[in-house]
Amino acid sequence: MSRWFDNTHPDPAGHPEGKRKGRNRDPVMPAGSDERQEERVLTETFRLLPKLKCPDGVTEEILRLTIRQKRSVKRFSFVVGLADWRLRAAAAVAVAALIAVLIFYPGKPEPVISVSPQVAEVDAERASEQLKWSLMYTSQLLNKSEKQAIGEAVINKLPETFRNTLKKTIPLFQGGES
Amino acid sequence: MMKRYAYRHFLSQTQDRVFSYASYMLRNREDAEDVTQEVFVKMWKHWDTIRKEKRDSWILRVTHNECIDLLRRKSSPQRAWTTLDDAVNNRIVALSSISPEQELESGEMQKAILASLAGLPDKMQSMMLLHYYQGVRFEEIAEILGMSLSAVKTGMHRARKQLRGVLEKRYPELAGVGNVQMV
Repeated sequence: MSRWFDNTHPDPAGHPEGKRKGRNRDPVMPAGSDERQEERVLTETFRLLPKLKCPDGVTEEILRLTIRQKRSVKRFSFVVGLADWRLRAAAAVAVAALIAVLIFYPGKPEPVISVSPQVAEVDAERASEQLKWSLMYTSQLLNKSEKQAIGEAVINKLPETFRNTLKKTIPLFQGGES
Repeated sequence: MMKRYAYRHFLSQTQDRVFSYASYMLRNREDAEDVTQEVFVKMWKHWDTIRKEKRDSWILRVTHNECIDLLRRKSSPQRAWTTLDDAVNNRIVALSSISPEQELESGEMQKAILASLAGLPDKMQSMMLLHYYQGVRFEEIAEILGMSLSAVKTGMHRARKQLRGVLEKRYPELAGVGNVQMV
């Protein structure tokens, strides 16, 4: 039972009946005053007030209106309520979607032409030939530039005196080869 | 199922206290019955949202509010003792532990205090009843009545002072009951 409602407690107001020890902790009553005794009288008098019993009829009525309430109507109320809530939400979403479609629908789209462009065989052969020649030319340029790059790299790594000598002799070799 | 069991248990523990509080506040048995019924039905509706440790303060707060609402609706500041007076006279409480003289004095004192309580403002009556009759601490009274702790302490001091004044005026012969000077 709650301390609050325990009227059988020797001192329901929480005031000790005897003399207090230590400093006064009563926030209202100053220590040692006559008011302390008055407080005691009030506490005891109120405590002895008749404990009124709640009539059985009231208790029965409370129970009838609460825990004995017939559930026939509300037995599936949660399910119905849930379904109802979901239905309402779905209806709201559907209406919103419909309005959005009506507002933003751009009309019938134009037909897309899916026929690929026609190419003549002569044009295709010519394009193929051009591609072959361009690839060959590119390959030659690449080879040439690669040799040149390697030669320069080798020269740069050599000591300067040897590099100068080599620079002088390479044209001789190249001239000799040619 | 547990909810019903817990509710019934709580009801059986607190219904008399709620009814008593409402009776002393309203001083009318029928009104107190109505308020008690209404409060417990309300509690059933909000049962799941009320924390277990807050149930006591919740029920007292709602009872207090219902009583105040009813008193305002009826707007009868000077409420007369009606059927509750019979209960006081019938002495439901057991006073076997005190002597017949003391019982007489104590009974007179109770009646005097109850009658004098009627002369206090509703909030002061609530404080006195909650503290002295229900044994509620000041902190909890502050929570129930929606006041600050200091306001409750001040209110209690004033209520006691006013009650003393009313008692002195109405029942001067009771001063000194129980070998204690009430003056």
